[in-house]
Amino acid sequence: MLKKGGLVVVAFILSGVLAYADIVDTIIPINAVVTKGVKFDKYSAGTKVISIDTFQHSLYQMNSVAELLSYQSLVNISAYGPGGLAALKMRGGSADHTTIVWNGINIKPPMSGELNLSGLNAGVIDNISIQPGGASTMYGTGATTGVVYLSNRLKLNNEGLNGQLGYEYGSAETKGITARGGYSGKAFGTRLGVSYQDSENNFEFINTDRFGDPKEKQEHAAYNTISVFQQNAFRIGETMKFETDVWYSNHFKEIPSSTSSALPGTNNQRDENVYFVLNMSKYGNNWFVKYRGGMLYYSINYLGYYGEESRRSINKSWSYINEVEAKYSLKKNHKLFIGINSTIDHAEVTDYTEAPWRNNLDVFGRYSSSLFNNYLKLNFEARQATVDYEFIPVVYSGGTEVKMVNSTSVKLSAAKVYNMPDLNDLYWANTGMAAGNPDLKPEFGWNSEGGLIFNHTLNNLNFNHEITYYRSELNDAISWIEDSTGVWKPRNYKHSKTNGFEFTGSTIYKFRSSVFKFSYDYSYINARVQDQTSDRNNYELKRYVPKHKAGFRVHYIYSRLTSAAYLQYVDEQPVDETGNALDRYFLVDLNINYQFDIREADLSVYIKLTNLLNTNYKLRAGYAQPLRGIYGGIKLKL
Amino acid sequence: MNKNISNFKFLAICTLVISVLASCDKDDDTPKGVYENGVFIVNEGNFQANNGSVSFYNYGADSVSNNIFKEVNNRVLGDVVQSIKLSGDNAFIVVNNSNKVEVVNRYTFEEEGVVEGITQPRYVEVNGSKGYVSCWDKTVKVIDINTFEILKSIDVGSGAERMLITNGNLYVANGGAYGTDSTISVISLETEDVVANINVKYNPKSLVLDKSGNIWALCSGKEVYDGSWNLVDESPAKLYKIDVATNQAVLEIELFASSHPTRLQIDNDGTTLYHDGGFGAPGIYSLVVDDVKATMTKIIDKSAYGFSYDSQTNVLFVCDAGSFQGAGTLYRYETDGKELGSYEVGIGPNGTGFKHTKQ
Repeated sequence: MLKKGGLVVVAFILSGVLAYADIVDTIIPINAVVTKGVKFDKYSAGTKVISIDTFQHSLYQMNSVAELLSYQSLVNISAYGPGGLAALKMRGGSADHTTIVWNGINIKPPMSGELNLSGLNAGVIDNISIQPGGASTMYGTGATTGVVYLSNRLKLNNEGLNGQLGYEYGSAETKGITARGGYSGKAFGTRLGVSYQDSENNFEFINTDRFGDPKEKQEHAAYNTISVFQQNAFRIGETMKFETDVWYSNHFKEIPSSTSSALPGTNNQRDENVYFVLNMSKYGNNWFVKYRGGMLYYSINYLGYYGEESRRSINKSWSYINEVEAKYSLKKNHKLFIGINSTIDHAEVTDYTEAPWRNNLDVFGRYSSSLFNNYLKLNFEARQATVDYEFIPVVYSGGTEVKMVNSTSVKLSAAKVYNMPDLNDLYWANTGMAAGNPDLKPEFGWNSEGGLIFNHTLNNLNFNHEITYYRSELNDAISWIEDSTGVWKPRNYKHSKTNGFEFTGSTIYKFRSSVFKFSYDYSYINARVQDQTSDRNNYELKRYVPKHKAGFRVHYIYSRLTSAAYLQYVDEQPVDETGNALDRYFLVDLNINYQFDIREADLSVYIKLTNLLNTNYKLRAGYAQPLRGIYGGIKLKL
Repeated sequence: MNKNISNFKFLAICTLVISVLASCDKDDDTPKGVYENGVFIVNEGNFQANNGSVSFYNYGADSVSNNIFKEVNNRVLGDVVQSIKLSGDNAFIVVNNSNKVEVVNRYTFEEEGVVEGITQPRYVEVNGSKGYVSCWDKTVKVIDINTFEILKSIDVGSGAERMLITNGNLYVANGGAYGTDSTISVISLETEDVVANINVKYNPKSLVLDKSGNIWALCSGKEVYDGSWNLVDESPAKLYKIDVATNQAVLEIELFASSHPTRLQIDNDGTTLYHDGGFGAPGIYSLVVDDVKATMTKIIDKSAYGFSYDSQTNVLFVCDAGSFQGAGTLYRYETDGKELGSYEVGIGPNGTGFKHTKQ
């Protein structure tokens, strides 16, 4: 498979070289993938933040956040087929151990602690970044193994009216449309965006789970996603800013049956979310205060058929958030950051014992300093959380970054992390088969990591690389276990430990009027878990965590032509503790984009070829992924 | 010339006879496959994880091989493997949540075919060239065991479970599925229609035949919940003795008031019944069919997700599913409760398939 991948890369570069001869010599700028070891907003010294490449993001505007993030080696997406429930995991943690932050607000639903990233359209987001590692001190419960940042930034840069329109059509009768428009002035800005994607999802695949390995067409798997976002920003004087953000998404999915079944699926689910965030900030000479308020609404409407009977389950939750943060510069290069967060969760679920309310009140703070002419950066953080007026043990973290010679830095960090039981764990009614457990304790653990950062420029070459080694443990990890009465209940049952290695990098090479940009990443994860009451060393590999994952992305830019190749290798993934595993796979995507200048507008046309090698693979046992696909689209930017 | 031909004929005949005799001996000695001499263990796997499997306990080696379907056929078996039935050279593996019955050679475990288009199948019984598959869509499907086609669908009660063939009829325990049923359907094998319904209380799960030709039915009892999942009605688990001549229950024995067993077995002689205790009374119990006092004796003190009686070796195979996270454990016991061994099997073991079976 590596030989095939090598030939693909050569063919791709050759096509770009041939195109070079005919194109006017103009470089189209593109944002580089940036790996950061420095503090940024709430990012701490000693940690790493990786932004999704903007060109790749623009090509996958019609796709979900899950599909876009699947190209990153530092995250693992476990999805029930395209458009199906998709959970994101980092560093061997579970899906509820990664926090999703949108415009500063933690938007994970309190019912399950897991956000279905298939229902979030990538086109409505301006920027997506990931931060592996524990961040409980800054984001509270759930940020145990990493954070995903989704942001929409409305800039008040006096650009005036602007707009964008896009359309895409492709395999499996998939089509999508996005439209944005707005106004950006000096003191006021507004923006509205709409995105719609619809797919029959009737792709072909080789069904290796059925007798005879038949080639089949996926049935009962259609989905559609509607997303609307609206933003306003006001600048009041020179030191005050006021912003409102609203994001509505509605995702419908027909749930196919398992690939081992010949009968088509009959069940379906609709996820409907509304997020509202209000930010007010005030700046002083050496201080900054921000108020952030939010209201989050989640609804899951599931219709299932059991033989001749059907059952509809409607689950809703709300979260009301109020947060105040203040930053103060004690002296030059010494900053103090404190905050207080109140989050009230409420749920109404068909199968709960009651309609609970949960009050979370947290105080948190960070001290950071930058010494010796920025050669040494330090920070210390702590968070005291309360849940329903009971104190949770304090969590704390620290990090440092030391600049060495030749643009090399060393970083170290350690963090205590925690994760509260979600509402499903606590309030699920005893149905005779499953029951919640109101006596659950929080999960607690540790993350630590160390690494090296290399940034170097040599003639026309620009290098950015980072290597990280990490270890983590989690105690009292919640797991649903069948008890002696045959009822499945969550218990603080497991102990998990993980160690791993991450490598990320990018290289930019400029040759005359061409730019070659390479970005690559590799992740090794050894994640194991066992019953923590066991006195034997009986750790087993965690489910759906591949030991090795690697990605390689190359962009070639010449004038108005941009071509890109994305290669991805994922090692086999255990699906249980008895040796069953998903096969390892290798994927290749190719993209070609050409931009036309039409007066003051930019018109782009593109072709996207996915799974070029026609690999038969799965992200989840029993749920197929499509073979080779082709998509074409246009984008108009005003 | 004629003498030469006669001699030749004589030699040819002798050669032929010797060859036939030699090949007969060879056939008798040649193993039919790796999985000839032992017991198959059915492992459900995790729901919707597509990791159900079959293990094999080898009598001679006293050891277990796991995941044999995937090892032989290089593909997964499917989602929630419910049961296995051996008949002739075939094994019929019921994969409940994959809505199919996989058919393999019982000696080599190589795939032969599949019966598809059936909803939530549970168990298979075989009579001649026909198989009968109990399904939770309130039907029993009649299949051709050679072509794997569905020949007919017969309406029965809800939650059709284990079956038994005797006296020209197929008896189907309608176990209630997620609700309640109180009938055993009687299907004529000649007409393939329901000819009677036997009333029992409630949710019959398992049927066996005793030495006198009576059917014993284990009813797990009912548990009824209201809309807020409060238990509002419960009935005890019971044993019924059924006279097949009249298709009437002639004896009722109450087992447990608040525990709901599901598995019934009978020994080689057809005189001693074995049943589990359900989650409320974990263990394996015995009861003698002629015992007028119906004394229930606990012989094995172990929580069992499933168990089976091996009529070849007079041994009880007890399946412990543990937490369903990781391998389950198979235990072998003498009928007096003495443990003979324990073995790691697949996830969620729920029972076995024997080549010699009375149930």
